Amino acid sequence: MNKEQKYMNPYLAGIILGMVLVGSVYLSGRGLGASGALKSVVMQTMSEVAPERYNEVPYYASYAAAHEDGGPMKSWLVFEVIGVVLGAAFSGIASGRMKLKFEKGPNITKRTRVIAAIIGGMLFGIGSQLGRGCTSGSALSGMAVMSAGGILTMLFIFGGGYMMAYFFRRLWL
Amino acid sequence: MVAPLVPDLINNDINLLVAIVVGFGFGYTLEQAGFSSTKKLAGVFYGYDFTVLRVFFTAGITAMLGITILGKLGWLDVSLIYVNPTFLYSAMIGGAVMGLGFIIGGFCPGTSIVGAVIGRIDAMIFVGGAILGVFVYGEMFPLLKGIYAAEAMGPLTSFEVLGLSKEVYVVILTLVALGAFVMTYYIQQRVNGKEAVTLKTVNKKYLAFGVVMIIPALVIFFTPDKEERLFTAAHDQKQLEQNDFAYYTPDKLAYKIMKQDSAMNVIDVRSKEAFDAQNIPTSFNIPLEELQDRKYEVTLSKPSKINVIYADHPEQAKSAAYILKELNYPNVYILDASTEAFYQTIMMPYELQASAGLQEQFNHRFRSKARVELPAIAEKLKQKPVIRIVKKKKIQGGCS
Repeated sequence: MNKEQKYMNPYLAGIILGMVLVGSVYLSGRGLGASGALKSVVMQTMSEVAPERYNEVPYYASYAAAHEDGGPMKSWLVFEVIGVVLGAAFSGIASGRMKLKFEKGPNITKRTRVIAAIIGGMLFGIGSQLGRGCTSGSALSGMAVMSAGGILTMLFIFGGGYMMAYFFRRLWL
Repeated sequence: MVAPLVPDLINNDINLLVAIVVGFGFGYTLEQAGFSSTKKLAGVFYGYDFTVLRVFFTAGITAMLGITILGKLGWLDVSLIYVNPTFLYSAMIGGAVMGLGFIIGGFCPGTSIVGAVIGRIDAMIFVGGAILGVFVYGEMFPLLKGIYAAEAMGPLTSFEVLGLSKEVYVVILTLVALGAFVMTYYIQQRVNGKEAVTLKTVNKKYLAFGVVMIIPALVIFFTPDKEERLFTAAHDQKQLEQNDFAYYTPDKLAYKIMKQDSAMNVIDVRSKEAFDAQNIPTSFNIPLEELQDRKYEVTLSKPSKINVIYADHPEQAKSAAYILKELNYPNVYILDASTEAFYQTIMMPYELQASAGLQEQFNHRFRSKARVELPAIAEKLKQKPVIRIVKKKKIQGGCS
């Protein structure tokens, strides 16, 4: 494996990412996303593990009805995330960053980081469902199409992060 | 072909392929930018690394500028693309919960997937947590339903909320982003105890970047929408004079109507009120202002069809004909008379002069017949609509 390379200039990366988003809207008429694919995973699991619940409880049933054709996994976002996996792997290999590694702040134990990652992930999972999309689907793509809700979600993601940053500084600093 | 290319040019299966390609670009860029590392992501909240903000805002601004310019050029129908709907409370509460998740977990869903792919164990755990969170949300949904659905405002745009024009908003947001880049640079240098560059010593490529972002914003600001441009040109006397228009006489139109020629659109481009007061049988109404609406495209663009336009003033009809021609609609004709004149010519009985020639005798016979048949056709047509409006479906998107 070659030596780990430096990250791309953030503004250049931003322009490329913006172009990808324009391409997405031009071709498919929609923006990027990530949490929607996680939802598909949950729904697919539900349909297999608890099919009665999946078909009867209104929340799941309405999703099931909307995805009757091909099931939860045949969705644009699932395929997009497959692309994300391929793109990230390609980039990681090309830049020599593809290796198992556990990252954490310098002053916490591994155990704390594991718990924080689970709780943080859960909060993001819940918040993304409430906010109809995460940083990419709601905030970034919403900003690109000038959606008021998208910008609002973005302000609250970053605003919320900044307001809470002080209390969780031990995790990172 | 006006984009988005789904569903007309790209079918559902190819669209999934497009998704993979788009995702590849997305994942590649996120990883290249360093978003696979939680330290880099958390940095934005402590001021030591603003990479997240730089990439995020540059991407958002670039995409906004790109999409708006494509719309201005008429290459992209922005009325069809997915605009995230606004639900006031869930957008705010959901956003705040995500912010909390961000600062505790150190990732967001997209970046955690990228991190997990290149082997960051903490990112893999975060992905698992996020999936669990989506599940928990589903189980809690009956409790959250109220907040989730409250204050639904539809696909509201931010410039509408601020009471700005789209153009002004684009310029302001671009300037705000550039301002934020400069400001966060100084914060980052201070937090990390480094000397900041001045305007003199700054790497020129960053100045170039600023210019590259401002130029499209200004172009947008000074470019009217394509519809507006065409509408203005259609009212420009010089433009109209340069065009040769083909004409139908009232007799010819009446004859075609009586033949019930289905290969003909008779289009009234006056206001709806004028149309309702009096119109020519088989005609339908598309006011001049709405002629560019794409919902009429299917009706007007059939190559086998003839489009006959009428109005109360020849100039108005010419403007309409100009627009149809510019939109490349085929076989455009103008009725060489106003609605009133059409009725005067065809429907008013008159005495044939003794000296009338053959043609006039023929016209007289024809009009006598038309006087009987046209009202009958008009009566018959009241039962059924004659225009087929094809409303293009808005694209479904978002994360739900």
